[in-house]
Amino acid sequence: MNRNLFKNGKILLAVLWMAGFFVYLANFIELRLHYQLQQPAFLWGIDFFSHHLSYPGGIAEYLSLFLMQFFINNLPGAFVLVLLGLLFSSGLSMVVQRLKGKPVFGVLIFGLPIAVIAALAGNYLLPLAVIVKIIFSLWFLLPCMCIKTNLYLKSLFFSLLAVLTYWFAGAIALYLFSGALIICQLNQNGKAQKIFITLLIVGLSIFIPFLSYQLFFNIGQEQAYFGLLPDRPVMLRYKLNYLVYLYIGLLLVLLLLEQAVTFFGLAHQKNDKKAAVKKYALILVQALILFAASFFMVRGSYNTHLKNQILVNYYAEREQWQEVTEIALQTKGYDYKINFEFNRALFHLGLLSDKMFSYPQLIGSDALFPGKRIAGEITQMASDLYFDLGHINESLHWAYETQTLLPNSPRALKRIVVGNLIVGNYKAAGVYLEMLKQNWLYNEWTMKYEKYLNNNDLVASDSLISAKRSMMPAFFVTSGNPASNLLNLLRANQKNKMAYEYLQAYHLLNHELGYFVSHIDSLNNFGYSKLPRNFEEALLLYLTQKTDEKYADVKFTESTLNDFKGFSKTIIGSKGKKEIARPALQKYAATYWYYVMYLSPKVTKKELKTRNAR
Amino acid sequence: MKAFYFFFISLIFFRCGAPNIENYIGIDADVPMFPDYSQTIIPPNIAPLNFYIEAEAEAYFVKIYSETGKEIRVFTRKPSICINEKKWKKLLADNKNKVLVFEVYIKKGKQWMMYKRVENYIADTDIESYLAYRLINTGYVLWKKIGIYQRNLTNFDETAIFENSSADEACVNCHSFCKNNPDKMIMHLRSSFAGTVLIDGNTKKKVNTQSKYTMSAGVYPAWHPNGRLVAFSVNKINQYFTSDTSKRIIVSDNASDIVVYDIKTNTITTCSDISTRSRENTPAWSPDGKWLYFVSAPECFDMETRNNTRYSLLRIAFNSDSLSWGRVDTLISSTQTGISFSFPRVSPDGKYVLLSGADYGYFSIVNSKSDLYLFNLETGELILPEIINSEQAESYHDWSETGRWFVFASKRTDGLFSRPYFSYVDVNGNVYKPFVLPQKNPLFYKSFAKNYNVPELISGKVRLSAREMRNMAMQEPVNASFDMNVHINALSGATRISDEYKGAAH
Repeated sequence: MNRNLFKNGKILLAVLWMAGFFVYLANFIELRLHYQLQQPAFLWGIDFFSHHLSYPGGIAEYLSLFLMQFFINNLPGAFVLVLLGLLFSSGLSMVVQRLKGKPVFGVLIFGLPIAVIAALAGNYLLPLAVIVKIIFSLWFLLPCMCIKTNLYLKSLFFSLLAVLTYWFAGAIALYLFSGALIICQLNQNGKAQKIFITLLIVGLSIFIPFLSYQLFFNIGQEQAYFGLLPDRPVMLRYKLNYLVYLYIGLLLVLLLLEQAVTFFGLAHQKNDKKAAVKKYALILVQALILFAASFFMVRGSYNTHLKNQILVNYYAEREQWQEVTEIALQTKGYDYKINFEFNRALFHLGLLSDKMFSYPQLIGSDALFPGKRIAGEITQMASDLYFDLGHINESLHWAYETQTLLPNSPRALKRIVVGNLIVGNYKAAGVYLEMLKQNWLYNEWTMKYEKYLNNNDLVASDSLISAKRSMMPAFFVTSGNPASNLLNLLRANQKNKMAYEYLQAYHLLNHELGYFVSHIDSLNNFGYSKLPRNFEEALLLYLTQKTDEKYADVKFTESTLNDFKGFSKTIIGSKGKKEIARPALQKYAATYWYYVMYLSPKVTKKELKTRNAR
Repeated sequence: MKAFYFFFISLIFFRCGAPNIENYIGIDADVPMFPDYSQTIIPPNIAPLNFYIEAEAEAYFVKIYSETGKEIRVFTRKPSICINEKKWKKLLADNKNKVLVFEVYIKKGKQWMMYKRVENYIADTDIESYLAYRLINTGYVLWKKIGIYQRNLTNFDETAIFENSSADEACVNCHSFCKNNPDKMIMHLRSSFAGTVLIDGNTKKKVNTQSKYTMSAGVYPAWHPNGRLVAFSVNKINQYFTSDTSKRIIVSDNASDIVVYDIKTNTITTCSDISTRSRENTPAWSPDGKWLYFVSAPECFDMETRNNTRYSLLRIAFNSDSLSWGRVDTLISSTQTGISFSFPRVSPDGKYVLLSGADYGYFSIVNSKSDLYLFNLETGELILPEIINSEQAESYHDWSETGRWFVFASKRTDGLFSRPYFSYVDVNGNVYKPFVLPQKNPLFYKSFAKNYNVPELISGKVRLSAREMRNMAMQEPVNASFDMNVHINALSGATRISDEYKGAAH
């Protein structure tokens, strides 16, 4: 009765433990954000598969990409990660069972892998392949535990599995496999056999990568000898951290612990009350360690800022602009990507000229036009922006750059397809559509647009395509100066409201009040019933510097005038000492005046840091 | 039981090989085939011209035959027509200088229908057995995976010559071979492991062709037929993006000159006529090595002159023994023709120059107005062979060693991706309808989102493996020295090198 209760209790706790991580991964980490950031693509074609056979670790990466397709939604994504945690735990448990019988550290073996995986998932750049590769090495270890044959056959079998581990999962997985195998050999009989097997395994770990680099695979040295992370463009490169080392070392440490217990004879306790107490005490200690370690790892890895950054991008892609602004304003600390999407969202909500300064525009106009800095991480942003603006060629240019870095990125492929349909290059659209058709997640989307390829009427009846076509500009060379591009866009289509608002925002952010004022009359083209709040603020500032009869009769809103009076009064009160006035001016932090005085990069000299273009 | 199997297998073969098409009706229409393999001249050693029939039907049947030999039959339920390689090779080899016929039947309902016969002509001259090219995505600024590959033209095998994924994703470009010889090759690397890899038989080295007196490392190469010298342009290149869908990008030079690299002495030289304030570019040697052909545009002063000026075709006499230069001739003036020329390539018989011509600039692959021209060096006649040109860009081209074939990059398939096309030239300089590089999967070009860049015909396989090339690429380059007997630098200022700098030259 008691034994059953204990067993059932264990199962219940195990289920609760896994369920807890499932909920955490689905609701807090939100695995769809991994998908959003990494744009993993899995294609069914034979070329895609054979490419993954052509380098060590490719098969594990192929499988990882397949599994990552489930990350498109939180629930299946969380299920995949929990399943991988279980695979790790059960694999390790079986290895220990084969090695020496029931594990002493069963609680840690069961509970720790999923906790480390959940903590790893706190970094949205995590390549799933890291998790999968280590599980590969563990599961290749298992057959080694089963083989009870003579030394030569055993050696052959180990060698074969070592080669397969390297080919399927790469160099680090091989080293882990070898390390674990050596540990497993420690309690085997026969000193000579142990030495032989150890030497063999060490030799394999050295020669397999060496020979594969020299003779078999056309790969770089780093990949041959230290391959763990998949090849990615710089903006998606994952930095190894203590959690990865912990995850890799988990197998070795737990195996060593189990072997140590056997070595020191601690496992062979008499079956009496004292032993039972010790057993329960050990379980309790393990549980405490597990809870404490899990709590600190998971808490330490949870990155709200990065999550919000991706979430903002996620909602922007789906045109859920209200959510974009809400999350942007909730996020602590400045982020230029959030700033960029916030500005876009405000425009789409019709609020750009009213509320732009409600988010601190710390890098000025660079948060309007990310293309000024050429780096992989801004290519998709730039493509989105120019698509909104109707400058389809420029949008395509950036989409091609994205596709160059992430050849199968569904997002890039979709943009290129639609962009080419807009510009009328249906055959080129067809090429990219064919690529996307190999990705099963986009069947519905590709079926829709496939019909467009040979049907001009259908293309013309598409509201998005016809709207963009009407915005497309005449010939001009895209300049490094965004204002010039926006003016060209406005020349092509005087109703391009986004071009106008971005032009004015650009001038405001660059303190170019003269230019701003010169375009203010064009407001009438866009159906404004009154001056937007930011325009009022800028015009008031302009009128303090320059008398302009033309604007003498402008009726400013009461609240703007009052705020301006209050702002001016505080400044005068501080006798021009900016920093003294700053605390009192905090209530005007969302105004243009505050931006000009405290936040503008022209004042702070803040600049976007660039990194390697790729 | 055996008899049953025999009967069953015979039935399958019968069904696959020869459907009952006696009562077919003719359709007065051309075969909707992709790619278009009709009315063209093909080499007798080319891989099977697999194609796709763009018509919905229940079954498809194709007969391929010529005057002699056994006809090839393909019966399939799918519209992809994949031809047996062995039978194809035999048929072509047995029928040089003869017509090759494709009879295409489709079955709709119970009725077989036959399109108009497709006729191609089998030439008597083989084409080189390999084609080398770079595969690159459509990104203009960033890059990731780039590789130089070689394709066996007699079958469908493709192997890597070099892949940048093995060398820190260095940008690799401008591969070039001496007289179609796979054992004499160069290629450049930029960013990581920068330098020029040079393979000359068993000699392999990596050189840094940039010196204090050149504005850049060597860019567009041209091997001298003696195999010892390589002419390079040195360029200051810019690119600009536009809002025009037919002219997405403008690539132009602020400045450019031409230099000549001597492999034996590891020295770079130039002369005052090819390193002027004008922009000399895209060099090419005559087959006898006595002339260096190049294009030249006036010096640029602003965006307008940089982007919109036109290049003329020039040549300069050269003595490869004494390394001395003669005078410069202008062969085709861009002012007179209104055409901007680039990438001259002289035919192996020395009679013709095949070159790109467009409305502006030299970087023809991004200009949809670019066409291929044939310039007759004996008569001075400039011909625009319409049969090889299209509304899309026709650009980089290379002659076969026999002079009967040339390959060129064209974007005609979809307006975006460059694909390699081959064309036949007869002894009188008549060129014939080109055909695209055949692929095993006939729909290959409809889903392959990479560009075939700089197609070069080579007479065999590059023997060095991709791993050996990787090891070469990762070596430290040897610095080339600048010829101090030349008193003109190649910084496009045509400034004289003063004596005080002589000692500093490496």
